[in-house]
Amino acid sequence: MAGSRRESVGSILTRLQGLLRAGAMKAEDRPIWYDIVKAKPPKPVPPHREVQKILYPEDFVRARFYKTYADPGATVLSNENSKSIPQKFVDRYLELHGKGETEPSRLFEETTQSLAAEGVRLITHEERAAARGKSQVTNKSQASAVTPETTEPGTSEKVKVKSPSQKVDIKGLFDEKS
Amino acid sequence: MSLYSRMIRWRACQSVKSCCSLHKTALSRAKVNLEQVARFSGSKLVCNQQEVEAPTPMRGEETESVADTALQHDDYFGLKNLVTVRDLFEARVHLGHNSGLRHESMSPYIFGERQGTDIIDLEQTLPLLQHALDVCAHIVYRGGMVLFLSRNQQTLPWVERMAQEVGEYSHCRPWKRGIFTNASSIFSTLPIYPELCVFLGTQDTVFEMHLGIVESSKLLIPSIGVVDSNCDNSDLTYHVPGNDDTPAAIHLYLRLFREAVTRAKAKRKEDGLSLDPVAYDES
Repeated sequence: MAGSRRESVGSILTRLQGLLRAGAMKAEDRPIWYDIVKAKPPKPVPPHREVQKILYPEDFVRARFYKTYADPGATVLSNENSKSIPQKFVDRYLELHGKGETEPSRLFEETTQSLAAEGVRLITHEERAAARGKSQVTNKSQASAVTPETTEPGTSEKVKVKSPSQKVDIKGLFDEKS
Repeated sequence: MSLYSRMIRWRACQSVKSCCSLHKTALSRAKVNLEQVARFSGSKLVCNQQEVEAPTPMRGEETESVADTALQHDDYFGLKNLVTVRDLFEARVHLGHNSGLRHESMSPYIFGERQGTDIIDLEQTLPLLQHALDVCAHIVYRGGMVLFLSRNQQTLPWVERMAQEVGEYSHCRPWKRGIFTNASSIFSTLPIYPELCVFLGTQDTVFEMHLGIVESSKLLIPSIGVVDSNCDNSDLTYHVPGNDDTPAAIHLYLRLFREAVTRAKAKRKEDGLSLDPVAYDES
């Protein structure tokens, strides 16, 4: 097609209009898109603005939850109806906050107690560290049953702390596969 | 005059002449089609062909064609109800890239930064997407050729299949520099250029922009592109801010463009703009 190949100058519409105005292209030779783009031009670009960070009130509750309590374990993502323990905690916290009966400074402890009454046991980082120390002692005594990876701190602490019997299951699982 | 009455008038005249008032290219295509048909079928079509032989291209304010009337319609193909913000959200169109990768030109379309990831503003995406679909449908309605482009290996077969199924074209393979701008020496013949390029992803590799965008802009071919938060939207004619990496999002775009093209082709046939030989057989 005839016309300037300087794509940075104007838009395709203005460049084609230039061709038509100057007579370089006859009106009946104009491309199919011309009438459409002229009738429905691109929408103007909104002005630039600073991109804000997105934060929600529950973020602060969740941050304090993870600061205080150890990771409560895996969450089933396939089931959308089941809520994870941190989510339950956040919901309960906001619920208690909404009621307004509890003092803001006591709200966090109240939430923990409220969940404990339902059987959700939360382990703090200190408790977990203590439990890990204990399990490491037991691990050393049964060194033959433990692979080198599981003795490394932090890699599979969930398995170690929660149920030592599960560790044996995993071992068995690998044996079956191999 | 209402659209309906215009259509009635259009139907009433049903002459090939007015079919061809749209565009010179359309006119020449009509000639070719009719000549081909006339060669193989009865005398009725030859009669029609004679009508074409002395064309008086109808132009100007008083002889607006059906296509021009359709263009004045706000939503002629009913594409506005095809998609909602909820659909976009569920297809993960709002997910952008890491904030560090943000392109300057995309900042007006970013809703905010959530934990280091840009979130695209779907309230802005939706009208831009509807606008782009409408433009695409109008170009198809007038007999324009659409080229779908993508360089995403994962979505390549879906794009190619969709384009084939709706009777349009696709180019998802590596883009040779000059396919548009130096076509005569690459193909050793003058090619037919598309009337619209639809980019389902505007990147060639993770570092480079698709060369087709600049080349279509140079050759005065309008382009529609899905631009992610790390892409440059300045060379595209119509841009749609949205996620271009997630399969769910690509499936959504493909579904929408398929619908737009199919509806436009159906309307084209319905309004008598179709230059297919079948349409003449009926009349």
